[in-house]
Amino acid sequence: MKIETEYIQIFHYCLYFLHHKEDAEDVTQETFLHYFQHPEYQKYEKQYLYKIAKNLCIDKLRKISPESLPENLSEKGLEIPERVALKMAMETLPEDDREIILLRYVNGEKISLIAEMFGVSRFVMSRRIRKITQILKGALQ
Amino acid sequence: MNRKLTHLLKEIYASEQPEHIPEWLTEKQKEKNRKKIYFSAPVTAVFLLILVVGSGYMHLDEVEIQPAEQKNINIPEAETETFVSTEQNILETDLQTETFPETLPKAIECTGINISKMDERQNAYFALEYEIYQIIGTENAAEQCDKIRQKAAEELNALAEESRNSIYYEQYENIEKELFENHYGYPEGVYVNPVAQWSLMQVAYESFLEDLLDELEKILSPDEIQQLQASHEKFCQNLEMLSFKENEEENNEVMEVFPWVLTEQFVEYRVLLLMQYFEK
Repeated sequence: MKIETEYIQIFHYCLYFLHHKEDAEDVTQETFLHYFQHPEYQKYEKQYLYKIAKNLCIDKLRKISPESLPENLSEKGLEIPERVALKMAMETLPEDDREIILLRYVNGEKISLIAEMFGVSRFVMSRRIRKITQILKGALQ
Repeated sequence: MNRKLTHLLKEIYASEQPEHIPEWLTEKQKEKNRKKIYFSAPVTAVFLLILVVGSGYMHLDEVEIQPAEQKNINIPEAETETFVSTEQNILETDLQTETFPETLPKAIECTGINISKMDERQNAYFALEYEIYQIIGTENAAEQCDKIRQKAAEELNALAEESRNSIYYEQYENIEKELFENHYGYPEGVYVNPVAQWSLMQVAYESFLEDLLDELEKILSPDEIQQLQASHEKFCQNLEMLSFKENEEENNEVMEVFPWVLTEQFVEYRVLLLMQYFEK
């Protein structure tokens, strides 16, 4: 996969956690810097990119005071009822499930990679995704 | 629906793009590509050498598949078709790379456990299930399904007969009974519809399957474990293909329900296949 594509995927992943475009860009750059500075990470490819990004996002969030948290980017342009319904359904999901959906449907990651990231078998992950999508589809109907 | 879901999710979570991609990253990409070229040439040469030398020996050890193992294995023409779909959603993209079935692997005998033969049998069974999957919703589907279903049931029964001696068979037989007796985990008096029953059964079979794999790994050599993992991966991919119909045709109740039954049968078949190897 092209590094540019991976960069955009990691950016979206960071944006999901940080809700701040500039911060997400900074963390994405930092993620790739860490990744290339440590050759031992590179044998694990993408799984580690996500791991580094998540850790850096958590660090970043710790440093930001709650009052200065910017508005959720995804609030923009919510005039379509389906988007509102989907957004609300996403908010009711547990944190892990939301992350799984983001990885699968927004970043288009393979089930095997997500399964590795969450330490479960591909079988279990496939079932879990199916279950979450049923909930989301229910919200859309 | 999946395409719509993906589209909406992307609108919510991926509407923003980074301002620019750092130049040093594109340099890294070029560097990575260069490394790939340097490494790939010698590695390919060594691999080809091993292949040429190895193929000479492989003929000596080749294990012929006995005709008895091939009974009931009728591979329909559709099996050789590559999965190509007009839809572009993510689930389908995964499936597009699949070819069904893959060329049957050469039989490899390892301390009496022949995982390749198991895969071969599994592919044949999947072929039957897949035949049903393809004709759902078409004219005279029920009649055609019945014929294929009968063939699949014969295969399943034959396997159950073979696995009856396994110590795990009793546990396996009790799964359905226990679920029924416990009212599928719901309070008494609550109506549990057949779809919920099927899905709970499937979950129970899948957990049993995972336990079986764990147990098998205890008695297998590292090589065999590797083969088993590859076999399991293939099984999961096939299972995903069977499940896909429900996503595609979710507005039709019959179509939504039918693949549940197929996947459940397929898992059951896999459980029965694995069970045989404990007695060897």
